[in-house]
Amino acid sequence: MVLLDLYWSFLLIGFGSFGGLSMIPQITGEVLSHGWMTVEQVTDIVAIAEMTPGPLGLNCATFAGMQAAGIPGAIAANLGTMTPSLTLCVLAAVFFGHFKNSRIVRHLLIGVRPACLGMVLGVLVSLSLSTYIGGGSLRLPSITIGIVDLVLLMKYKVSIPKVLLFSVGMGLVFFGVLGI
Amino acid sequence: MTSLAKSLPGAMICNVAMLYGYRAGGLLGGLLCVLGMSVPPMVILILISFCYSAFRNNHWVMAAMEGMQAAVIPIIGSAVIGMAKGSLPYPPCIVVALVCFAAYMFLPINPIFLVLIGVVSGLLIGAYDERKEVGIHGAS
Repeated sequence: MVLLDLYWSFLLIGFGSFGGLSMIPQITGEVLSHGWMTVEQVTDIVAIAEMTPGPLGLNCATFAGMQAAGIPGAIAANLGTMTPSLTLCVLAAVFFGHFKNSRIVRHLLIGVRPACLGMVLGVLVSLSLSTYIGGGSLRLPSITIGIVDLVLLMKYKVSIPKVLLFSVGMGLVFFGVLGI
Repeated sequence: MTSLAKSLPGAMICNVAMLYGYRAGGLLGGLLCVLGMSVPPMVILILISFCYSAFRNNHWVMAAMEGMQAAVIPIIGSAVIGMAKGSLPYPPCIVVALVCFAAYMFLPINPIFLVLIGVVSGLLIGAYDERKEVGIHGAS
C-alpha cells in the first residue's frame, strides 16, 4: 500500500535526520529507491523547497507524496516527517530539564554532524554529475550559471531566493531564447 | 530551547513548534503548533506540484527549471561549507565524514545506517574525550 510506504519512508527520514540539509541524503535515497521521483525531480524539488516558505523536509514530503499518490500521499508523507516531533520531542518537552544538558545527546551529535556532512557531500557530487554532465558531455550553460551563483552566494552574500531568481532568468535566456 | 530542537531528530522547525507549544499549552498546544507550522507549506506545495505536473513540459518552464537546477548545487555547496565549520571539532570527525561520504557514494546502503555509524562514533569520541580531560585533571 503506497500510503503506508510513504508514511514509513518519511518516518525513517524524520528519525534519521537532524533538520535542514541533513534530510536531503535520506530523502534522495528513499524516493529514488521507491521510484517515486527521478533525480531531475529531486533537484527541482530542492530548488522549489528553497524558494517557498516552510521547512525543506516538509516541502519535499509534500512533493514526493503528490508525485506518488496525490493529496492523500502528501498528507501521509507529511505525517511521517512530523512523527519525530510528535513523539520523541514530546518526551523531550516533558522531561525538558533532563534533556537540556544531556551528555549523551551532546556526544551523539559529535558523530552525527560529520556523518551528515559526508552524506550531503555525496549528494552534492551525484547531483552535480546529473546536472552539469548530461548525455556524456559537459553542459556549459548550466556550469556557467552554477559558477556565477557560487560567487554571488559566497563573495557577495546574495540571499538564496535572489540567486534562484537570477538563475531562472539566466535559464530563460540560455535555454529558452538561445535554445542551447 | 532551540538548541534542544536542533539536537533531536526530525524537522527542526516542527521540534521548535512542539517545544514552545508544549510550554504554552501542554500536549494539545504542542500538537496545534506543529499542525499550524506544517499545513500552510503543505497547501502551497500541493498547489505548486499541480502546476509542476501541468507545466513541466512547457518550453519556457523547462528553461526556467533548468536554470534553477543549476543553482541548487552552489546553494547546497555554500551550506556545506557553513556546516563543515561547526561539524569537525575533533580529528576523528574528519574520518567519520570521509567514511560516510565514500559509503554514500559507492555502497548501496541506506543513509539511516550511516547516521547510526555517526551516533556510535560520536558516543565513542565523546567518551574518549571526556576520559582524556579527566586524565589531565588528575595529573594536575
